[in-house]
Amino acid sequence: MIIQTMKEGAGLVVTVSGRMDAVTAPEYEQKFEEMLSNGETDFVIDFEKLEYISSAGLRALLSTSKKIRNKNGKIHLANVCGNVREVFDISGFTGIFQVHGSVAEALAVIAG
Amino acid sequence: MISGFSDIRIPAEPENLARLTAFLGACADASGCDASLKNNVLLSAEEAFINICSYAYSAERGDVSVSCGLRDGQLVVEMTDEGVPFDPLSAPVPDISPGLDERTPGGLGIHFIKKLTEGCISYRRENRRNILRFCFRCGSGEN
Repeated sequence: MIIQTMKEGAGLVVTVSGRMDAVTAPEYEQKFEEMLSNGETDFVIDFEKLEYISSAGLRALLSTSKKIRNKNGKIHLANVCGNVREVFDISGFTGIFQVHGSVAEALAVIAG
Repeated sequence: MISGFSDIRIPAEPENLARLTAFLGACADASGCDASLKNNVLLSAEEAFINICSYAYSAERGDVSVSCGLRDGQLVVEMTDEGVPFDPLSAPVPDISPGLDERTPGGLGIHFIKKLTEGCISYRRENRRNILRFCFRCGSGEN
């Protein structure tokens, strides 16, 4: 798993590539801990290059999202597609996150 | 172990997930699974493997044996461990309806396997072993 970040005006765009599984999910949580402690609050997570996610990945996504919301931050997802989309659908995650068709769309919603 | 199937034996530690994924990915490819079905195989296997690491071997360490092959046009995966009795099919069904703040993690793994295998999953306890078998509509159907 590779996590890249880029500041884009209204929020921080976090691009996650590769696999979010039982081994790599803790890295995801740790990265968000760092970003939150650096004062970041509003995130767009781009899953276009995410090839695989398991329940461990979803748990990491859920727990970090709760931490962001506890700090009155915003979390929006973009490009949830393919295998990842299927996992979102069967776990009910599609309905609990704000999922957008593109990063630009998600940023526009955050900017309000 | 199933005769005619390829198999692997690995220590039940999450760090060995990549070995399991490589083994089953090769099996899925050799069986003619498309990319989507291959993902279903790998996802189901991860969930089953992590459950075994967490519950069957919660107190002591041990190995997992994995067999994979085609039978009657279906890709069959069998995972065997020598841990304490653990039937993942008896786990409660998670409620997937709550919103973000109410949603609790857990229970999703076995839910995934049941969904992705379309119910083709069985558990048995035999000779002090847990044996979990699951299958997928995969391959040409000519085998």
